[in-house]
This record gives sequence, structure tokens and C-alpha cells, in this order.
Amino acid sequence: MIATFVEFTLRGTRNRIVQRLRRLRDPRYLIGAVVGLAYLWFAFFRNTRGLSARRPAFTGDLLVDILGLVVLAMMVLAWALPQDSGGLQFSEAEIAHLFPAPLRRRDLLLYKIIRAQPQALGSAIAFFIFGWRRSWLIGVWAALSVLSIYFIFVALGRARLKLMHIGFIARLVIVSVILTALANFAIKDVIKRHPIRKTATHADVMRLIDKPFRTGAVNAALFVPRFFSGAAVAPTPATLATSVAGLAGLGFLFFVLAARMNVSFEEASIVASAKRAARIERMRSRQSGKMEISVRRFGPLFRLAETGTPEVAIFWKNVIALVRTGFGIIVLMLVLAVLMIGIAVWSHEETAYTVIGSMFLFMAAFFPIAAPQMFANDLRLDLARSEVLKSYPLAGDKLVAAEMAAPLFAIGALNALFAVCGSVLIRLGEHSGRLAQFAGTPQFVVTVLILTLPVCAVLLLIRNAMPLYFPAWTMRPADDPRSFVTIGNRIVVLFANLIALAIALIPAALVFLPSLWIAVKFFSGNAIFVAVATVPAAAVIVFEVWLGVKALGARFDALDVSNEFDIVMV
Amino acid sequence: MDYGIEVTNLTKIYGSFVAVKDFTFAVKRGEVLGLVGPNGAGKTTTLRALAGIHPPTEGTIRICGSDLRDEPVAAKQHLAFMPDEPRLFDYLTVEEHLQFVARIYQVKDFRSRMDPLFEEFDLADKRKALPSELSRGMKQKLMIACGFIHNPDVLIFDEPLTGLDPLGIRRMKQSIVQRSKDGASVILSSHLLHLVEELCDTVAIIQKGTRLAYGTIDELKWQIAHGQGDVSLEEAFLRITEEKASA
Repeated sequence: MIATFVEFTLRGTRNRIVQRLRRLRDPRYLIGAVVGLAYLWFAFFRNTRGLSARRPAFTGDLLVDILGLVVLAMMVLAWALPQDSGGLQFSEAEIAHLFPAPLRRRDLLLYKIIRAQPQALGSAIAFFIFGWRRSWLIGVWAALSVLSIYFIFVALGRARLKLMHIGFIARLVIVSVILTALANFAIKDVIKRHPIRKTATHADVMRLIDKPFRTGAVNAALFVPRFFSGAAVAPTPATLATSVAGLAGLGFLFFVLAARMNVSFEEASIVASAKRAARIERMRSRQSGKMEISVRRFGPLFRLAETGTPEVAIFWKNVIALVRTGFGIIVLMLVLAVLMIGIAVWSHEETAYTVIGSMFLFMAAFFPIAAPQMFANDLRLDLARSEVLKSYPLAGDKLVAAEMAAPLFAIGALNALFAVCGSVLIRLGEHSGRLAQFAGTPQFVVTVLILTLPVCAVLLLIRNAMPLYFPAWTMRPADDPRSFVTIGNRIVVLFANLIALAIALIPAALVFLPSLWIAVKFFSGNAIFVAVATVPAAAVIVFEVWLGVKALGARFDALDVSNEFDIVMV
Repeated sequence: MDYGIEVTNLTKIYGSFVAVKDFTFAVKRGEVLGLVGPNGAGKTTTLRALAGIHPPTEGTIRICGSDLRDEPVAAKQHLAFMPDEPRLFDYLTVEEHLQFVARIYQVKDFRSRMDPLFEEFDLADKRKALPSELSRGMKQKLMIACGFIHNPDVLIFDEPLTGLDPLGIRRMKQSIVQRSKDGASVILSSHLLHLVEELCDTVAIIQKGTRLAYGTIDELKWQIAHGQGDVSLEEAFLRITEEKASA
């Protein structure tokens, strides 16, 4: 049986690796992989190399002890968390094939352990490459493997406790008492026996910290965890050898204990598997633009007449979606605005007015960039239903415009609110700076209001265009697990969005700068003329949006909707 | 002759894969056409092309006289497409779905049409329910109710009975028959050959995107039996597809 499980695991792992490598022939995956790896390098690896160059804080036995403490905490906490009582996690396919098969429970445990090995090895390699150069690959692998056997034993132990009417709360209380007692012992030991003098050197401090681990209850409690930490960060090959040998014994012991537990875990495993599937489904729903309905009882904000422009129905539908799914965000934004205004008014100081007013303007500047992701109630949300949308008697461009209208008004309204609040507060702050003085004028508010909707429309247009023009970059099969390639794809898409925005704003800027120059040069920077100068720039952006909607509509009309509906946003 | 659907030389190619090739057929008003074929034969591709979901590579499709390519909005105004998998808006209630679709199709008296549809599809007590609160069968019923709200002249069903309970199947069959009696052109795809035999006037058998047989059910049976004895549609289908496979 072991040979079968090992072969199955090896073949499955090999197929997975080959599939991942083959797909790198697709430039999207290759670029995603390169960018993703580069991101990981800069985010983690570069820093750990930098750290390794510096003098490490903890080394040798002390490192083994501290890591042992972490392992001990994990081992104890596993008896309390998660809340579920027992049940091993199997996939749907494993349940369908293994549970009806003539296998003993011991065989199923063995299967779980063998199946966990590629992941344990992968984690050990990642830990070695990205995390810690001083770790031992074989030792980390052994530690993770035995830890997984221990967790299987604990999962079955929790099921056994449940049979003895010891539930989650009782387990939590017992574990909390044990952990508190251990912490208490350790702290008392350190403070009473080894007071750290202010004059102590680094070496003295290290020695003082190390001593409590070698005496009393802490030393005894760390006996088993030291095998794990000793294998992972062994200071010498001899420690590694003894730790790995100890782990082998522990692994065997945990396996025998788990196998002799004789607890029926099949039913609990099916429940755990269903919960996992539901969790994944919820996650995919969020990724595919589906949003959870937070306030379902809100009715439509306006009555939809039976006849009239049909595209209004799309707007009506998206307003309902926005209210039902984005109500929490809208309320949060409004509460934040009220709080900020309240603080400014309550303090009644010029500085507070200016600072909070500036914060509002900062929010107004960046909200349009972030908001399209929060209010995705447009074509992106409906892509999974494009089969139905395309069968409606609607022209593509009108459909696209109607789809974008609801989030555009929501984002525009909130943004205008921030800008107006900012302007009013800065005016109350009576700051003497020229820019602040302009920001406090009604003309500034008019300028912002003129530009807000067109700029938000450009941003929404870009966000909606990405999945239509570059579906491969923005969508992925739902069953495709997320990896560093996905991270790379997201980074590329983010930069593409920003570049598209910059390019879209260039013509408007080219129109705006001469207008502004005229307003400053010939009208002394009069706020009214500055406001008027924004109108041509806004008109240019509106024209661009119109062109974009036409192009996107044509693209939607020509879109070849295939069977690939089971896709989610990257 | 007054046709709801006229398809001439429909061809759909994905890259190098020919999904449908030179498919020609027509559905008269009041006629029910059954589209049958093995898995991957091109049935769904054909139906999606008819619904304007994806443009054909070659060929023309006319819905109630309007060319789907040149006058898509006018053509789609006459049709209703019911996909095999109900694609509903998660955040709209049952009633709001009908209200939404009614406005899209400019249905003036939608409120008077809504109640009979709720009764017909057992949705009366689910008016305020969201799709997530409906079973698969109820979702399917809602999808079909949305398709019926504007009394379409052309009905396109992709596996219409999937997920329905026995009562739902009976009602669905009655609905299809009633709509065709009222003058609608109906095209449906199904693997349930007894259903096709029961509901359809004509049948088109396709395999690997190519039309193998097309005619009334009696014509197909007679063609297979060579005038001797009687064969079922299932027998006719198997013989035609096997002959083609061995050819």
C-alpha cells in the first residue's frame, strides 16, 4: 500500500510540476513568473541576505530554544484550535475514491502523511532559499513532516475529547491555563534568577536569556519541541543527526498513537471538506467580481418604468447591486467624513481645519484610483453573465455606458464630497499659502467637480477594458491555484492600468497647461479663470471616454463568448 | 412561408477547430425543431450563434426577417435564449429579474404578465428571494420565466429540462407546446430523445459540426427503416451517427 501511495504522490507531483513548467511557454505565464519571482526576491530574499550579513541576534542553542518555544506553543495550541473537533481534511476526489475503497483507517492516515511530503519538501526548500540560509533542508523537511503527523494525531485527539464531552470551550480553557502557566514559569525564572543588568554586554544578555531554557519546568517542557527546532536550525551536524533521529522516533510514536485512537473521522472529514469547498467558493466569488450581499432588504433606489430607454434597466440593476453589496463601504466612507469634520469642528483650531482639510483633498486625489476596485458593479461584475447580456437587444456601446454609470456616480459623488469638505475646511483654516487659498475657493470646488466625473470615467473605462481586451491577463481558470505567477500577473496589470491612465490624461494635460498659463499670465491666476481653464481639458477627457465607450462596445459585440465561463479575476 | 429562424451555411471556427460547418435549416412559426447530437457535436455553438452571443464565422442568420449581423438589436428583440446553466444576477430578487428583463424588452404590461408566469413556474412564493436562495431547478424556472416575459417570437432552449423535477418537466413541456401553438418558433437541444420525439415537429442531427440528417421525425424514421416497420428516434439517431462514424 505504501508503494502505491508513494507512486501516486510522486506521479501527481511530477504532473503538477510539468504542467506548471509547460505553461511557461505562454508568454503571459512566463512574464508573470518572472515578475512574481522578482517581487518575492525584492520583498523577502533581498532582505534576508541583508540580514544574514549583519550580526544575528540569536544563534546556536539559544536559537534552537527560541524556535522550540514557538513549536511548543503550536503543539499546545493545536489542542484548542481550530474549533472543529477532529476530522482530517481530504479533497472531494479523495473522499469519493478512498473512503469506499477497502482501506483501513491506518492506511488513510498513511496516505495523508505521504501526500503531505511534497508540500513539506516544497516549504523546506522555500524556507531554505527565501527564509534562512542557516537552516538545514533535510532537517526542516523532517521537522515539518513530523509536525504534520502530530497535527493528524491532535485532530483525532480532539475528536476523542469530543466523545468524552470535552468541547471547544473546555479545550480552549485548558490550553489557555497551560500556556499561561508555562509563560509564568518562564518569566519568573528569568526575572528571579537572572536579572539583566544595565551594564551587561550583548554576550552577557544572550547568556542570561539562554540560562532559563536549561533549568526547571521550561527545560522539561522544551524536551520534545527541541527535536523539531534542533533539526531545523541545528548548530552542528551532530545536533542535526540526533534531532532527526529523535524526530523519526516521535513521528512513529505519533502515527501509532493516531492509528490506535480508533476514532471515526470519516464523517467529520466530509464536513471539513464541504466547509473547505464553501470557503474556496466564497474566495473565488470575490475574485470573480461577485460581491457578498451585505444588505439585501434595500429596495431599488428608484422605480423602473416599464418602457423608456432600455439601458436604464442596466443602470437600475447596478444601482441595486451597488447598494446591496457596497453599502458597508459607502457608510464607512460617510462615517469617516463625519468623524473628520467632527474632530475639526470640535477642536475649532486653524491648524486642525487645515490638516483635516488637506487630508480630505488627499482622499479626493487618490480615491478615484482605488475606488473602481471597491465598486466593481459594472461590466466586470457581469462578465460571467455575458452570455445572457449579449442575447439582449442592446447595442454594445450603450450597454457599456450603462454598465459604468452606477459606480461612476457613486465614486463621483463620494469624491466630490471629499473635495468640497476639504475645500471648506481649508477655507476655515485661513492658511496663508497661495495654493491653500486657491483650494479654499468655490472656484476650486467647481474645478474639481468639472474634472471628477470625467477622470473617474476614464479610470472605470480602463478597468473595464482590461478583461475585454486582455482576458488572459486579467482572468484565470477558477481551478487554477494562485501562485507567484498570479502575483506577477497582478503587478503587470496594475502597471498597465497606470500607464493607460497616464496616456489617457496626456491630451487633457496638453490642453489644460496653456489654459492655465493664460489664466495665470493674463488674469493673475484669478480663481474664476483657473476654473474656466479646466473646461476644455474636461471636454477632451469626455471625448476620450466617448471614444473608449464606442471601442469597448464594439469589442463587447465582437466578443466570442466560449464555454470558458468558469473564470475569475487574477 | 413565414419563418422565425432562417439559417444559411452557418459556419463557426475557433482557431483551427471547426465547431459548426455549413449548417442550413429553418424553423417556421409554430414549429418546434429539435437539435440533437453527441457531446461536442456543435449544438450549443449553433444555439449561441442564433442568440447573437457569438458571431458566426460564415453564413447568415435571420430572426423574424431581421439579419442578426446587420440588425442585431431588431433581431434580438424577437428572441429569448435560455442557456443550459441559469445565469442570474446574484443581487436581484426574482421579481426584480422580471422587472429588469421587461424594461430591456419594453414590455408595457409586464405587471399583468408577471403573475401568470409566477403561477406557471411555481415562483409565486419566491418573489422576494435572491438566486442564492433558490434551488437549481427554481433558478432554471426563473431563467425561463425571464425569457417568456416579452412573449418572444423565437425561443431558443439549450437543454431546457436540466435540473427540473417531474412536475417542472411536465409544465415545461406544456409551456413549450403552448408557445409554439401561439405561433412561436422554437428550437431546443437535448440529449433526451424521447422528449425530442414528444415535443418536436422536425429534427436536425449534427455530429462534429456537420448536419447528418434534417427533416420531420417521421421522415427520419422512414429513412432509417427504409419503409419497413417502425423505429424509434433513438434507434434512428444511433444508426445515423454510427453510420457516419464508420464512414
